[in-house]
Amino acid sequence: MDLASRALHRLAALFVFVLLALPLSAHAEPQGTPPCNPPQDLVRLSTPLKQVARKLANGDPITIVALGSSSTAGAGASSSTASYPSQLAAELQRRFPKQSITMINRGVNGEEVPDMLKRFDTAVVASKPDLLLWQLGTNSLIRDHAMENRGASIREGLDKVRAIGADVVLIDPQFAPKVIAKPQAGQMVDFIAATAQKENVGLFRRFAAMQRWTEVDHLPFSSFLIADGLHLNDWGYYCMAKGLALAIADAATRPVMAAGATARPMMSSLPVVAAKVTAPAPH
Amino acid sequence: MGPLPTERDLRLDLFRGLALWLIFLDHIPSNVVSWITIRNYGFSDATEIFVFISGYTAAFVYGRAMQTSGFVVAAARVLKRAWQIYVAHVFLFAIYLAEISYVAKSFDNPLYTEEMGVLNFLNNPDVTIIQALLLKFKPVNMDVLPLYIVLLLWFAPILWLLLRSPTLGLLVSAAIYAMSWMFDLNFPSYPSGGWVFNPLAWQLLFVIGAWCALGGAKSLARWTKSRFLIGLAFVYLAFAFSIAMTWYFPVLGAYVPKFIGEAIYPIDKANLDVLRILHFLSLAVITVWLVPQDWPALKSPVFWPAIVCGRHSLEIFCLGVFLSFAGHFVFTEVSNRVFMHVIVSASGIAIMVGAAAIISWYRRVERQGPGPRPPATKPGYAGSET
Repeated sequence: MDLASRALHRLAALFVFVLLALPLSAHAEPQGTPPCNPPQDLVRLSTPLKQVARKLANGDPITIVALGSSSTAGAGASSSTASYPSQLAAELQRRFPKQSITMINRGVNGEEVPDMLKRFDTAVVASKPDLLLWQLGTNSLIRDHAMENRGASIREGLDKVRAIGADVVLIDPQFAPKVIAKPQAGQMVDFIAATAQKENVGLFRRFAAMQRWTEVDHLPFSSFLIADGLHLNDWGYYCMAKGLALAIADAATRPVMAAGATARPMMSSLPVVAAKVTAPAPH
Repeated sequence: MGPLPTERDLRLDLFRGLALWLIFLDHIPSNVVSWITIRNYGFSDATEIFVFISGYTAAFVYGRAMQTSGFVVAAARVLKRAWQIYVAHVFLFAIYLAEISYVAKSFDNPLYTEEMGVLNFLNNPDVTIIQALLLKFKPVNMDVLPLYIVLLLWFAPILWLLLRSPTLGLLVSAAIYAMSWMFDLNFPSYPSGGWVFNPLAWQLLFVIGAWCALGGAKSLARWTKSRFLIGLAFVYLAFAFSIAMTWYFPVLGAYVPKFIGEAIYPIDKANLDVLRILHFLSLAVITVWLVPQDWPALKSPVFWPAIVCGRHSLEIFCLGVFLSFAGHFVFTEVSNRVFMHVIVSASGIAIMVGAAAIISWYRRVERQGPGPRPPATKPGYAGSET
């Protein structure tokens, strides 16, 4: 090996170190927001939204009430237009441009199920919604209030909405440090899933969908939560709304058929996904 | 630069085969078995392995062609290979689209088309078909081959440069990488955004692979075999591992000092974050140290399934993309039990190995078969090019 090529190889070695240093400066560059790809195996609702489907089919105006606590009210969002109900309304409007869609935000910071039930008639029933989005569980969880005896309260609310013929989608707690610090977080998520299944209403699995943001997409909490470790930021609400819009649009346009009326492929006679309503596999 | 070695390094096929398996497992959403894949234990994943080894083998095959037959012939062969991959990509696009639309229709679940990013195509095929052929519109999980095509398109000049001055070639590549970061450059996607694997960034790993194949690995051997560097690699892997654990046990996140979190996030996959490169290089240093090229076990039947897949990587990659959607559909519509995850994952890999074995067998028959032999246009052992 002559001197020149040896020198060249030295240079190459040096270069590796330059390579290490190089993007350290580039790393400071501002990055775009992460892409939002709602996983359909998580967001799909197990029941069709019949009332919304009817309204869509007739082209009638649709009223949606978003009931819940701070993550419905929009705590953490930079403005009220960035709350999940506002972004959901925009996303649904984009999907159904000709439809008149009214979104009523009934989120109140810090509330638990009994508080919401107290104002249920005025906040929900009086607006005659076609769809109720009911976000619940987070505050009970972080205050260590047991959820089991809330079952009756939830049922009471559900009965009231069903009486006026509205569809319901329950939304479980967010996946955030303050929530998962509670040992009962898994139980809460399971309890809400079980309630949705028992009452035959929709369930938006926010907890599992957000868990995937960290575990599969490797997003740090700071990219979808604000600094308090509990509330979502604008992007978090956006991606939640996008998943929910996907779920609603699908469940409201799903062809509803009488049993056996149409020939179905053989596979669908196999056992239906049991895990759809349970928590994700433990890791 | 001296003539390149002619013996094929079995480790390349082995690790590329393993990478193909990992890509298949990772492409099935919520697959429990994908917990064994490397993306869960550090920054880099199977894509890095695939791109690096592809660069390595491309330089190995076409570098020799360039030395023996000259630039024009070698460049023509590189372009021919790029064309083959393009054809494979378009073919896979058609099959994949048919697969997804069939499943979505049969199970009344239009969410599949949205999730797999083909809704846009089904709604406006007249506009989108052009964008698909221009590689701007790509369904989910179909981003690797377009990257590969672009990498090969400019490979001939960079190979020419690497053969003359490896250092300069590497510097040019690093400069392109740095520019793509500084000026936020990427290829455009349809309908919006940039490529999932930014070719301007990912070319660096491809060229590092090529550089290693053309003697760079040898010239660095003194360092890569040094205790110091191997130790450093272990330290870095341990660091990446502890960060990765905070993704699954967020409680641990509290122990990560704030300045570290601020410095490392976001770990950008699209633009091949430098943390990912370092992670891959650390893995490579340790792997090369643990698995020498003349390790006898490489020829044992234990590693044959992965090696045979790695040898026919283009076909097996395409098959893997098809199979991972099939797996996704089985989990969603049939059963989502852990048992099913294991069955689907194992049978997917078995199908990949079976297909690779058949391709291998047919290639052999074609070469040795009776009757007039097709003219041997490909140089012997490196015949299965990339």
